[in-house]
Amino acid sequence: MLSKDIIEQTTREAIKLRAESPGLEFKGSGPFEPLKYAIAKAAQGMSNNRDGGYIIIGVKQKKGSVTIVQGVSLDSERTYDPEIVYEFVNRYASPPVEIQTVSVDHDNKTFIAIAVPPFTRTPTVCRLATPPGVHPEDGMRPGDVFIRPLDKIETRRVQTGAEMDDLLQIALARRVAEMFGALPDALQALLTQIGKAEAPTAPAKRQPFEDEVSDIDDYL
Amino acid sequence: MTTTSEEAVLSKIKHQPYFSLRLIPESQIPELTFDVAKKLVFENRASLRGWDFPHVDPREVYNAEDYVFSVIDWNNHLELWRMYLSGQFIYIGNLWDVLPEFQEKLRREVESSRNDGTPNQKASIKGVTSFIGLIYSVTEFYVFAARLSSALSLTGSLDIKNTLHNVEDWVLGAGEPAMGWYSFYQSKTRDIELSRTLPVNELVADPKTAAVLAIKRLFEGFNWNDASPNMIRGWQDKLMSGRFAF
Repeated sequence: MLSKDIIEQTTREAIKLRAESPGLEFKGSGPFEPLKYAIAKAAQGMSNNRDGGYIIIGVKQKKGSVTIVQGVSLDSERTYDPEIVYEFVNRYASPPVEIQTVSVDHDNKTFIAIAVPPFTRTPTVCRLATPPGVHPEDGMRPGDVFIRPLDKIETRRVQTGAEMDDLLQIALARRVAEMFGALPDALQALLTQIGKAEAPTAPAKRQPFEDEVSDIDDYL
Repeated sequence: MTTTSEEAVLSKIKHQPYFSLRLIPESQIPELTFDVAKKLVFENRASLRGWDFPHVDPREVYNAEDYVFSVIDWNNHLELWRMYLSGQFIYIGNLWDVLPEFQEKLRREVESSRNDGTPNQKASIKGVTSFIGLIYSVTEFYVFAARLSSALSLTGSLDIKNTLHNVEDWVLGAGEPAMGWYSFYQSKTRDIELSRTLPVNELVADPKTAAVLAIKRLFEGFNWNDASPNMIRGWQDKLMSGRFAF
């Protein structure tokens, strides 16, 4: 979970920069209801980014990279109840995406920031179809895997083997790191259990970071 | 203890402009094995342009006392990195722009430009470095730092100690022939330090934005005080749109 401070700080910086990216999507001002499918879809795409991303409501990005910083009205702000947004997004996302919805004040305006973390072990897959009548751009089907491609600012389905490969590489790296992270503890527990090692009484002493680089410090 | 191959690179690099980077985790991690340390750098390197950061040829990564390391001495390009078993990472590498073919081109660009440097300032130019190359480098540092932090499951904060060394009297150029560059920004300090401590979750959530502030600070070291974050972001997006971007 990110702290509210970090989400606020990142959102303000993003609004100042006024440029969308694979990790940042702006949505024009409006209540949750008409934007909810677009948000659910974007959240799935962002969660499949290596580093997640942010959806910010209250900034309109027009063609030609012109941005209009609108903010949201008080009435609209009230519709972004964090629990409702979380529940709606995760009606479509599997496994669930741990999004955080925060109101952010900036330059006398209010914005809604939805922070989307990257998936932890398994890429996010859509598990439910949008009902008939939803705008085709916001449509989702069970089994859809959405990404935020690098060549165009949009959320779309995986289209090529290379894109799927990128996603699987991220998942693999996470699992390898998780496995190696857990290995020393698991091994220690096993050795202790079979009597081949004493249970550790205190964390091993580690050479301080400064000492480690003392031979090369003049260059750092 | 510095190895002989590391010493060879360090002795060549010490009088050139070069970047140093040190990533120090706040949280303790279980001590890495040599294999895992090597794999972590390889799998989390930033391959956003032709040359990855840090450059890893798995065949040329070696074990030392408490770290794995690699050195590059290729066609005047010098790099050295170490991944310690403790989770600390360090990098030292010269700028691509010091290579004679690039330096000559950049100098020509600055000398032929109608920039607003005074005759005294122009006479003192010691070298030229591309501001775009600097944006790319610092962005790569932050992307790698974010990926490494995520792979190590770090919590708390990460100390990013980053310095551009030996740039007194160096000026900024563009290095993009199609781009008009009429500005004169010169560093009058030997080293420009960009060090900061960042919450890991903030860095991992958006390494590009985290890098923007460091890049602005870097340009201030060249007396460019009003570099636009949007401009920096634009070049970052160009970098990240490479096939291997995250």
